[in-house]
Amino acid sequence: MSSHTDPRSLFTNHHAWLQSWLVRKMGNSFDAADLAQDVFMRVLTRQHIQPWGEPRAYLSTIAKNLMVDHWRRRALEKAWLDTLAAMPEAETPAPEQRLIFLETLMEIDRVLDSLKPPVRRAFLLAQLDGYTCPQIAKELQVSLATAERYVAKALKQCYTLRFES
Amino acid sequence: MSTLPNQIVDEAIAWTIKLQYNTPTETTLAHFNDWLERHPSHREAWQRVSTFKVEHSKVPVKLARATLNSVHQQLQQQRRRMLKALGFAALSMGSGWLASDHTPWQRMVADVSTTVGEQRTLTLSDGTTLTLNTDSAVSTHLTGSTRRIKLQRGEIRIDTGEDVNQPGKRPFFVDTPFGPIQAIGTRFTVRLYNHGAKVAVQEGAVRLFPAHGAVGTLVQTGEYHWLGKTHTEKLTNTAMDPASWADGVITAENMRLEDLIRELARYRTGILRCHPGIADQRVSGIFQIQQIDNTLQFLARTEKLRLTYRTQFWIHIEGI
Repeated sequence: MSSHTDPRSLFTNHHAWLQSWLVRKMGNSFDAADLAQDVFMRVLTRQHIQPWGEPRAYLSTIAKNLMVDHWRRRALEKAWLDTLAAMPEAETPAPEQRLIFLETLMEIDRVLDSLKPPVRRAFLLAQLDGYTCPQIAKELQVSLATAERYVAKALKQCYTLRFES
Repeated sequence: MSTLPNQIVDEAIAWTIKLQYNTPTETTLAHFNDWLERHPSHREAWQRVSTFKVEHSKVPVKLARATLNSVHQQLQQQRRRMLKALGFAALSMGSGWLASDHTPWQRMVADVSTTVGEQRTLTLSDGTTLTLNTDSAVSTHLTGSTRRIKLQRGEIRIDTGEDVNQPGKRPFFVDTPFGPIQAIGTRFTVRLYNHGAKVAVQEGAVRLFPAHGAVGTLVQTGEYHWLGKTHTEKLTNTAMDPASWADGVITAENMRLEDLIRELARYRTGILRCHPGIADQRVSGIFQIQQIDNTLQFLARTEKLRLTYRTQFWIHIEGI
């Protein structure tokens, strides 16, 4: 196997470089160290074949994707805490439920990001408000077949993100 | 986690659209059952795909909407920094979708909803206690000169609050597609049907205003009324206590078995089908609605019935 695609040699040859690259991008050595770790985890567990070519370009592409995830996650955590703080206590969920809800919202947020606006609206009505497809069709003023196609598309995206990425 | 063929995942999604996002007929359920049994991978795909609705709907809707809105605003602010760090690569932030959708949402969105089999109790800012029964949704508008709760789906119990934070106690209304209901210091339940709503008062009184009717009808403690678009009507059926669901039970007295089974079916996804031969049998008792399958087993023992599970979604009930 070429040294380019052997994960162990990738790690020994490029870990220090990747970490300092991440420190430069993120301005924070703790997050950078964690993310560098995640990048190599991703390389090791990846099922598909790694592309040939410049290994640092390959590593930094994965690192960029993980950085976006990391920022989204942090932004969502902050939004979540702000929202909870602004709600009357009686309406806030029990502490033991919060982590589950937060994880669920992270998933919804990631799915929403990859959908076109009408599909997003259909997805939110279906998942959060419990609308059926006929109700969604009425609300969005589209045919039932279109509403069903929207929901199916969003569910496919949920599936891909959870089970195939 | 094993990878499933794309085609089977798509089939499972098509089934979940039919079963979870539409009202399935018995024929649909029978075909679904055939599909499910045809291959183990079908079952695996179904289990994966059908969890999304269940899991996502558990997050309180108000919290979910507010968080997603706020994260979007934050991300807009961070966008510049991220673009710089990433050199424009790998970004798909969308463009203001939450902002542009904001207005229609305010109108169409339910603040609180429950899924099949779920109940939820909340205390609102004016001190009102609101309980939602299975598969229900409301939106609340408590900031104006009147307090209003719009019942969009299902059934609720209202125990109106003192509204102490306001200079004068503001009028309280529940809006239904068939007209508003005004509370007069009170506890009452409202359940939506296709062509009207049933209103039962446990304490105090309410006034019903049919959407196209001339005058309001007063409903006193202990009374039970129908609210249609054009008229109201006093109901005398007492086979089932209209409010005991809020305590987690169905209280039946000399109730038709078919009617009881239809009520139990509201708390469970799928179809409970009662054989015509036992439909008119009479039942009395208190039946738990938290664990419908246990209640069905109990009913089967006491009433000498046989339950046949065609699938987990489709149960036949007949006499022995």
